[in-house]
Amino acid sequence: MRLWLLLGLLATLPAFGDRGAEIYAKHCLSCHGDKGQGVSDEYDESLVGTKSIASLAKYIHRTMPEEDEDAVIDKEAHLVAQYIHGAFYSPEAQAKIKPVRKDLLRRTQHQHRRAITDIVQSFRGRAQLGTQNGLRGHYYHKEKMNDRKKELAKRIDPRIDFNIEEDHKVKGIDSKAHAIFWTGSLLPKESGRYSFRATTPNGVRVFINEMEREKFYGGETHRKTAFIDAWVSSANQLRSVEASIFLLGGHPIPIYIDFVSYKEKKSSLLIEWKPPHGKWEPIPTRVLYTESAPTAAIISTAFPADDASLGYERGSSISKAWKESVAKASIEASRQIYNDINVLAKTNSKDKKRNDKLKAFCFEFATRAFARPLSTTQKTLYIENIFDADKDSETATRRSLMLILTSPYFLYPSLNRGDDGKPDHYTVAAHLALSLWDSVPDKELWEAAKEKRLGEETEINNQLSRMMTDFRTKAKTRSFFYHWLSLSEKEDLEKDPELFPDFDQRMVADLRTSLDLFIENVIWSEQSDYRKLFTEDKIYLNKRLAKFYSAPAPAQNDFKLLLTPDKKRAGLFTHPYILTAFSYHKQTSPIHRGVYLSRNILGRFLKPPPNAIEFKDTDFKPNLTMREKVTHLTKNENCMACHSIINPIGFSLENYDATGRFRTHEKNKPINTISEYPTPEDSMVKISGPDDLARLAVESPEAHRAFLKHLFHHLIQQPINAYGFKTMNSLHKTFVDSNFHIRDIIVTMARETVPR
Amino acid sequence: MTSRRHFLRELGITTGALPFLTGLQSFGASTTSGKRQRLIFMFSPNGTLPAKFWPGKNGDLSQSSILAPLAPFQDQTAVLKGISNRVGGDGDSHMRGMSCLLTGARLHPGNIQGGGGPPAGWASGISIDQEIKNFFQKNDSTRTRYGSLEIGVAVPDRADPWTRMCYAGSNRPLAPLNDPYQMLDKLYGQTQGRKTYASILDSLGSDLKRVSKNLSVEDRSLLEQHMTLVEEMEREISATAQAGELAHPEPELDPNIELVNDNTPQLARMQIDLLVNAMANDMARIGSLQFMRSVGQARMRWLDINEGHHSLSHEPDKNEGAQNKLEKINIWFAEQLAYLAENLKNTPEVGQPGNMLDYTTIVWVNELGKGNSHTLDDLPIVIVGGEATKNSGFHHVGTKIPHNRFLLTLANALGHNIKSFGEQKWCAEGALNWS
Repeated sequence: MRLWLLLGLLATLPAFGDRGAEIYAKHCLSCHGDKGQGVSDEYDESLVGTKSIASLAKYIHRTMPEEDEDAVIDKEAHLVAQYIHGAFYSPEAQAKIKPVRKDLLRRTQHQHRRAITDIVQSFRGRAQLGTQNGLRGHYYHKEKMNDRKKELAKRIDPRIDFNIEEDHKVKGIDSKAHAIFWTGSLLPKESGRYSFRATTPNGVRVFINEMEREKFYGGETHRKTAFIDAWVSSANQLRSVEASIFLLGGHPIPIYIDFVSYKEKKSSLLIEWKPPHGKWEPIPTRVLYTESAPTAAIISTAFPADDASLGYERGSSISKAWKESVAKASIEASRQIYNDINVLAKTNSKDKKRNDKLKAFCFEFATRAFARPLSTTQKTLYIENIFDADKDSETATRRSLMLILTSPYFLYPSLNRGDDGKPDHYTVAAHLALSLWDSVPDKELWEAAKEKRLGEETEINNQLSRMMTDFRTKAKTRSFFYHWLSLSEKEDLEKDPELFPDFDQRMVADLRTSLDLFIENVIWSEQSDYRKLFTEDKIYLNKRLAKFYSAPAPAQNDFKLLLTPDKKRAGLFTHPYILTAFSYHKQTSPIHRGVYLSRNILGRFLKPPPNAIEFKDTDFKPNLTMREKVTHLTKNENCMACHSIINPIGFSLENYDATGRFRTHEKNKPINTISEYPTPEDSMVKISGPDDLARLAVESPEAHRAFLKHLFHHLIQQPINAYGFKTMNSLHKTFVDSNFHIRDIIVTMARETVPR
Repeated sequence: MTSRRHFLRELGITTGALPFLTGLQSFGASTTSGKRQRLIFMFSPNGTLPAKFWPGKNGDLSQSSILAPLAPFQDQTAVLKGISNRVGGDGDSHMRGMSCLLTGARLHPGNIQGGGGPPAGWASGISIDQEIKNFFQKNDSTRTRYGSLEIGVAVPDRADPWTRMCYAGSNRPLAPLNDPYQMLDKLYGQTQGRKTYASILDSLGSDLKRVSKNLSVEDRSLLEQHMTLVEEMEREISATAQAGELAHPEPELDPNIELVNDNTPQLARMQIDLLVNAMANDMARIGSLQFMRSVGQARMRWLDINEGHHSLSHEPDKNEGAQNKLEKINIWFAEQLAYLAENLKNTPEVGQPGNMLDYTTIVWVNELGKGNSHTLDDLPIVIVGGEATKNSGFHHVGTKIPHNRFLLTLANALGHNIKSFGEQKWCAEGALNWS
């Protein structure tokens, strides 16, 4: 019976006559299936992975088949390994068996939000920020009811932390009668909800992302409602007022602060913020700019999380919750737009051509949202029909905007095709904007598409290099790093306060900033060298961090790139934020560090553990070191299939405690960091510390490819194999040839994926 | 072809029709039986013209040019003379007039410099409307969804002692909601937006169909799911639309009234309609309706007046032109009060004989007695409906009677039996007897 079955299956095998295939059919197929897909009740996992043929052969030689380990050895083991590798095991083989297609994708929530903001912004003009950080302060003498009796000084303030007792630099300032206002912009780095807090014993109004335009109402001109209104003081008592707002990473918004102190003993003002993942701190100088940005239309509607099951976020599925969020966002957007319609559509309530102008505005809005000129059908459906049916132009405008923002042409950017169903210049423009900015084309891209210039590689390169310097590219790159480093989901990095008394939430926020600055510095430096991510021996430290990590304190309380006394740092591998994130509450976790670094950074393929074993510290004798505990816990051969890779990496970082501080001893025993590490080619190398890890990351093609794959998926949001499995090889070559230039490879990825 | 929009209109889509905005509480909160009592303060600024305001001893409203618009409510109107704001302390008369008006409490020292006196801050106590609201909200039989509604008409968007009369407590001013569209949102959720959204679903469905025709089988499945969701939403909307309606449907607002000075008359009507509607649906039993602000400079061009109100109020009595204009302005305010009263009178009281006005006490107040003297004596106080029904007519209650006692009287009349309100010394003689 079994033989008959085998013969039947053999006939279906592609390489009949191949000796390796014959061995596979004889010894392996009954448990692993004809294409390595697995057999239930036998071995139900599929045989796919990244091991080399040699490494597979060695494994088979040693352990397979399970019931008779000596049945397939030496040359036969090699032949069967060769067969498996080529037939289904390797990624290349998998790509041939299951060709991956490009999916129809909708915008992710980030893309959705940013597109709306940018379309509205395109009617106002984008902010032009200079290089000067800080806010412009205007200092006045106040007299009776006149807040601005006489201007005393104009200057640039790095942060809003004013105190009259310490601030004698303003000549002639009367400590009991003065008023100050500050103007400028704020550039948030990531998207999310930001809180702001004003602390003063005097009067202050803070306007964040509010229209500067004054309006006349109730017989008086005034600004929009203040975001924080603490204008009226009470017996000179110090008080704090807070408010929060949703902001977009890489999108500058205007900030305006009005301050007054009159006949009061004390005069001070502190403006702080709490960014997402952050702690309260004075708004840092590096996010403040002296130029005023125009107001932004930012949608705060909550969306359900996007599918990240493939390791990157993409709009591959839709749900009722998503549909409802799209509906709510369209309502919110149409309201925000209508509130400012006179400016956006360049009209007013008495304008005789108002209806025509609103109609023209909706037409233009649809064009920019769909990222191509409207077809006649679209014009009828989205504009004409609506304005014909509704005499009332406000309702018509709102309906039209809602329909545009819930339209498939807006929601699914990949529907952007020419009349013949093929990609054209507008398709290219939309692709470039989506890849680098998560957004819609700007004016320059539009013009290039209109003039049919986007068929040429030089023009695409010109556009891309221009686009690279935009804040939106920076925001997208930044979020890639957070994703690659698995930091987006890390929230609670608290440690045992008894063991690490000074390591509080403030420190965690500082470390996050330190990591941010480091990554930013590497990418946006001239070399933009991936290798620098692993070889940098200095860390960005401020006073607080310097003290904790025993480094010499920087002169000012700003972040400086400094050497720690241990002198044994190697970029990301030893950045305290990462070491902390992959540690337990009280101690290190070589397993967490090892799994994360081998998978994400070194590109090793690890299967999920066959049976999950929880690490319980109380199961061990208290005098054991962490290395001893982990070694004991994973000694089983099944575990060691992967832990032979994981453990050496984790152990090599045992010189860094749960907060990333350098140490030489644990439990009064000297720490041993040396292990044998199996390379992907299955040779054993000795690793003993971060420098060795850095060498692996710099030299190993698997590591490069892991980085490139993550980056590709984050930018393009389609599986890289959908572009042919040679794409990875050619990207890798370009990357190596360009001295691992990160920005250049981003440009290459966007260019090479242009729809044709 | 009947468009989706008309279809929805025919179904009578109103409140809560669109299920995708969840989290809305049920409307028309309380299910309590028994007599409801309501209180509304209406504020107009910059003092009155005493000679044109006070009616004769017989209380005939048609004899007072300013109060004449209230003549139809003669039997339900009381006019009280002899009440003073005696709170004193920091701040100028306008500031104290405004921020002590309903609080009866001094202003904190602060940084706001007025036209006279030392600079001052917010009031140091709760206002009477909020005091009574808290009392109502504590009790199941009087609790409503909002308790109170603070509504503004042409109140400038700034927060200082001249613009705030309602206080949740010391140093806690409450901002009146100025925008009828925001008011509608607050009361009925984003109904307008949701209605408009419902009207586009039909077009959206047909476009999705057209788009998906040109796609591959795999890609089409995503759009088909999308279509299913759109259809589902349409079904839910029509199902909810057929379910229950409000006792009093939300008012239809003209969608094109901008928040600008010259639209004040329309905005006032919209706000009053919303206030009455909300009270009819028992969302709140306490309300305030604040016109402009103390020292307000509204330019009432709809009355052919181009000067700012506050500047006019400073003109001496002998300036006849200014007097005529101020008279017109105050008549206009009285007309707003009459509109409010009429609106209430035209709405039957649920489960009780009579109409809403019978159960609603409207109190018209002003921060000054007279504009050009800045006096805080003889505040012009008019009560319409509710408690005034039993005690209508002209009441000269005394001389310089502290207004704290008047505020205390209102609380007691609504069943809140406190013994004192605001600064204690002004309530030593207890509530007023003005019948």
